[in-house]
Amino acid sequence: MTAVGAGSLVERFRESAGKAGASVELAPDESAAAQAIGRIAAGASGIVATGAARGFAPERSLVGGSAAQVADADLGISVALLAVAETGSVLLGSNAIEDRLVAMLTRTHAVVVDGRNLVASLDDASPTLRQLSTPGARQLRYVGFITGPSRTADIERVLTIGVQGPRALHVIVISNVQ
Amino acid sequence: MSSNFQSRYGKAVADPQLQRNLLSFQQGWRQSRDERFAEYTTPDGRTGEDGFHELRTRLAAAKDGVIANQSQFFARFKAAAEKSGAIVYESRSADDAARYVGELCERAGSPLLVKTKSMVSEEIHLNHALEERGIHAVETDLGEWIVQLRHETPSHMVMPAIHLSRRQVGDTFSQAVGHPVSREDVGEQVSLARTELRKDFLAAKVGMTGANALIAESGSAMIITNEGNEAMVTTLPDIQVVLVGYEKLLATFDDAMTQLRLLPRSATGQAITTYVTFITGPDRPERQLHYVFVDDGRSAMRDDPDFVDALRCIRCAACASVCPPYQVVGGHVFGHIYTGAIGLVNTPFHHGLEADAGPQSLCVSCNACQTVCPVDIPLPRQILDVRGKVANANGLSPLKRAVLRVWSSPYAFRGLARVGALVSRPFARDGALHLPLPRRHAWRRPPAIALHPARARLPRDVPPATTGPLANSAAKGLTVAYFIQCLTDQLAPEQAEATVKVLAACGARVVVPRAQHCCGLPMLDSGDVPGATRLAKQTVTVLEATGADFVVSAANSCVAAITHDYPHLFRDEPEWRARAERLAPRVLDLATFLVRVGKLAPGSLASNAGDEAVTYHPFCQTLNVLHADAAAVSLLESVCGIGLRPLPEANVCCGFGGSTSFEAPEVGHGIAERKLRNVDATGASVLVTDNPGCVLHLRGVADASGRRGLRVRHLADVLGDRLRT
Repeated sequence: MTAVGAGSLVERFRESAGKAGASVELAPDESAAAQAIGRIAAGASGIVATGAARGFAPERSLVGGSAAQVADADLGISVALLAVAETGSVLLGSNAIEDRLVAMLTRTHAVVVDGRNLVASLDDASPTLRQLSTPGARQLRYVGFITGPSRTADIERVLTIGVQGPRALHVIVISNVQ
Repeated sequence: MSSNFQSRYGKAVADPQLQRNLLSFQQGWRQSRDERFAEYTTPDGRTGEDGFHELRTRLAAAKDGVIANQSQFFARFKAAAEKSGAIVYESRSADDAARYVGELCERAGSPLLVKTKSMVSEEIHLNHALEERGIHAVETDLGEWIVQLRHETPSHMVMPAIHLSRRQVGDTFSQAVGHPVSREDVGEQVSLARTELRKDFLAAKVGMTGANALIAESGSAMIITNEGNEAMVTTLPDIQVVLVGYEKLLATFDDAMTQLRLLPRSATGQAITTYVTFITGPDRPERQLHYVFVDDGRSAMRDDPDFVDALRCIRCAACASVCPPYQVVGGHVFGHIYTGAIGLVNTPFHHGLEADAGPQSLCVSCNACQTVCPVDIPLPRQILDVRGKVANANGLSPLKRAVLRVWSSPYAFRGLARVGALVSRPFARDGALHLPLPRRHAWRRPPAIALHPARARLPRDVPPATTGPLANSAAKGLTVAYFIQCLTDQLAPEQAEATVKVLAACGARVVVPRAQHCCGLPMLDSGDVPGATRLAKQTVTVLEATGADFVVSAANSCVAAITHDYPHLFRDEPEWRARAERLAPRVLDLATFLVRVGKLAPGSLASNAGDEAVTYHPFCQTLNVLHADAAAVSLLESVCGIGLRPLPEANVCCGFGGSTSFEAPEVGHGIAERKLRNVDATGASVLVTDNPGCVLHLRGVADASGRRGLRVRHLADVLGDRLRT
């Protein structure tokens, strides 16, 4: 797939992520992204964030909570390493369990990603995966694509959104492309 | 065939709810799967089935490379994984793997193990072995959890509970939690999983997953899921186990991305699953990650050239989702632990031949499985190889042996047919036998045996036509040898007459070799490999001797057998194999000959008469092996000017399946009804197909089911009619 330009890349990401049930918002800069998160967080009682997401999260957010503290918090906030337009996926990774808890135990998950880290296809993400998995100081032992909210169709193939993982995924792409 | 299998079979075919559940599943799956591949474009611009073929060729090659050099890739994986702090254990047996996991749990003081879905763990009966050590393994994948609560095995590798209705799930949940759970609201049922399983996630000290791929270059496991349970299982407990078969090894992340494009689309009809996780070692020194490798017969598969390709399997279950017999009986019958076509192939290696004797007998050889396999495993051929092994080990039933012996001999076959024709004459009416039949077989009226078979009606040598609408076709001047087919000869000689007439009308000289008999397919279909091979040699000899430019038949099953099965039958006899391969390019089905060689002009067989509504069912080998359906459609629509009504689920078999519809009549009947209900939906009064087996089977079912307004005809019949002026 050829990348025609960052603009269409963002649009393609938005379309793929939308098809997978995620909501996508564009924010021109970091403070706009924080505001977007603020709007998503309105009315949320428990908010947890990863260390990297501290700058985007409301002040009342808990960082580095345990499983018991994070479980079923209304909102979890993370930062993605990159995003893939082909599939509408974000890539998250961390060696810190606390970070993973934020993405997995909360009811709603909001992810901020820098638009400059948006790639066209899974093939374009492959070198990053390789790098992140290579032993060394920067190795991330646990890395994963997330595409939309958790789901199952195990019962009669009826789609149900929200199983063990979050039932809503919001992606905020920091991009000043209109 | 075990009585256990018989009773499971009997229970399944008496369960219309099961068949309804699975029909709905298969139809939904097919649509989603096709849509997802249509939406994906390869770097060189291919999409749909074309794109799928490009992807699967790439993945098959990637997997073959690793399979052929497994010890090298395993060593690479092990070194990389260990460098990242993982422990790699090569279990010596299924029991040894269970022992290792059990001891891990015991050392961790964990009587509870939380698991994501792992077919390997089912394969080695891990949960049972752990229970015996006092360790309770909790399935956290929703479908697996449901079947665990019901004390069942998964009926499908990807959708373990797909055989159940929501009512059955509601009842199971109500019983498990001791209070009423909705029988209608699937959302409520799913919420129950979240609350119930959360306790186990938080309590367990050991978590176990499988892996969809193991990436050798980095020592990473790739795990793809939708529910979010994998994150729970790999994050909350301090000790992780990845239980995995050696065949999961892949070389690089690039290969993993190719697999990632194929697996979700083929398994659940998704472009990608919600979660795709790459784990490379324990993420903290105080935590542990153990890889437990399982062989359990995989080396034997690797050493067997007929079955090594089955190690490419990525456990997508498309081969079950597409399978017509699977829809009728479900995964607890069509398989053992592994279900679907791959289960019919790998069960002998993992669980023994006897466990597969019953399941493999239900395959109708429609080849649908291979058409959707994301690594192009030659499953249909492998299933017939298994059938040959079963026949060799258990012998054929006395009745079958007798039937095949008569069938193999041209004289005995024809002699018995003559007697049969005379004896059954009082019951013959309009080409069918009106006889009382045992209830199990009464759904299909048998064809009448012709008093004058085709070979009595056809001259040895038919001169080419010099006049008529097709006389100057591009086939003019060619010599064509006509292969009748044993069944056509005795049961549908009018198809033979029509075929010869059409061929001669194209300006070709048609020779009808007298020594021809049966191509051997019924023997192959029954597992009588020596018998099939003898008849194959006889057929090759007769056809070579004609010296004709082409061999043409309207029995596409024979064309597929001759061109595709013979080389495999002769794989240990290089001379015969070479002869079969030399013959194959000249052997064509009628439609392909007329379109590709004859190049019949559009409208050359158009007619004014009749406004009948016509639909076309491609015989499964026509569609999946010969790829001759486009030629048939072109003949009907372009050359004959017939506006065909599209047939829903055209790519699903008619259910004849050779001996299967006799030995498992409920399967034959179930698939035939599915086909005819689709035909009913078109409103067509004529069903055209291109194999005598399909014609006789569907005609017989239409008759017996009172579908008076439907005529089932062979393509040759339709073309022959157009020449009648």
